[in-house]
Amino acid sequence: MALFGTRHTDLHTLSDEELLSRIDTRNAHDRAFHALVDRYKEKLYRLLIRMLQVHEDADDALQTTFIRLWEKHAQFKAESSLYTWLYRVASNEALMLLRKRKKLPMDDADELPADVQGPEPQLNGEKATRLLLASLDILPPRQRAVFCLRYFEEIPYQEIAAMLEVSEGALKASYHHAVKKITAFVQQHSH
Amino acid sequence: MHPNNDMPEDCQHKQDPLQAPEGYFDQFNSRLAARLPLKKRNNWYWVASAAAAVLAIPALYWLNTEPQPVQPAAIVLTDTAPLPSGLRLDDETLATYLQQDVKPAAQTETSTVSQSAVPITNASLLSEEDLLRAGLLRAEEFETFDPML
Repeated sequence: MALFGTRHTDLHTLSDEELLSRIDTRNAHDRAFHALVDRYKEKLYRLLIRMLQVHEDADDALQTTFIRLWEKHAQFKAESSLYTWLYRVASNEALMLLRKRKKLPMDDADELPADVQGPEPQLNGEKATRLLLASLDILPPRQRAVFCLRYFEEIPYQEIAAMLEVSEGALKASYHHAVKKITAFVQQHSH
Repeated sequence: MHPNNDMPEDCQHKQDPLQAPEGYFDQFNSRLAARLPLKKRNNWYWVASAAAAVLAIPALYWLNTEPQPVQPAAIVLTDTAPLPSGLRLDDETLATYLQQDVKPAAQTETSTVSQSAVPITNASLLSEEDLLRAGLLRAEEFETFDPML
């Protein structure tokens, strides 16, 4: 299996465009495709779990994102990077799930999610993190996406604008509103 | 302990409450592969080849068992004028009769009408004896026959 190992390593050194051109959609275990999955799955999961805060939803959105890549890779144009394209698809999937969730009746909007209500935090840092994540729940879907992409992923505004197809000005305003709401939420629940 | 991080694993988990479950990323690819819609292979070529082979077998069998058309006997002699192309002289009696008067060389000619046609001398140029023998002239007429008339 040394040969397989060598070829596997070689695939991981190829660029996104080269891997895209090698995808064979007749084989579900296509190595070029799975090399791309390996390259982006953890980054995308991090974004999705912060936006959705439920592992099952994040997993579902992540799989859907890669299925979109599988189906649309031939139409992918190098106008934007694959990384930007994947983040856009993942963000849109998460937004769709959040909008669906908003339609479901909620018992108490102010109540903290179960994760936050867990055992008493032992560290201030941990408590702050829990509050920060809980505060995302109060944000509208679009603001939540903008905040996650900018705050956690540290993606430049220009790229986020390309991902979400909105202007940079609208993005900055959206991020500013999100920060104000989160700050107020954390101050309210930190005592 | 994580190889690239000095922080103990339990502390890392506390830092990020939204961490993926253990082994999630290891199994992710196989679970994803099970959901991928596969593009069907282009097997029209093989289907077309198989269909052609299936159709060809009875066709070849039929061609081999079909009796070969029997060529009609070659024409040897014709009547006074060449026959229209494609017609054959099948009257054995006439053929036998005409055979007596043609030259032997004419009998070895090839089979087609145009190539084997042997013109017969016009009846008017035959001698009276020939005409009488052929029954075309009665005896009394022969006696009064004046070729100059």
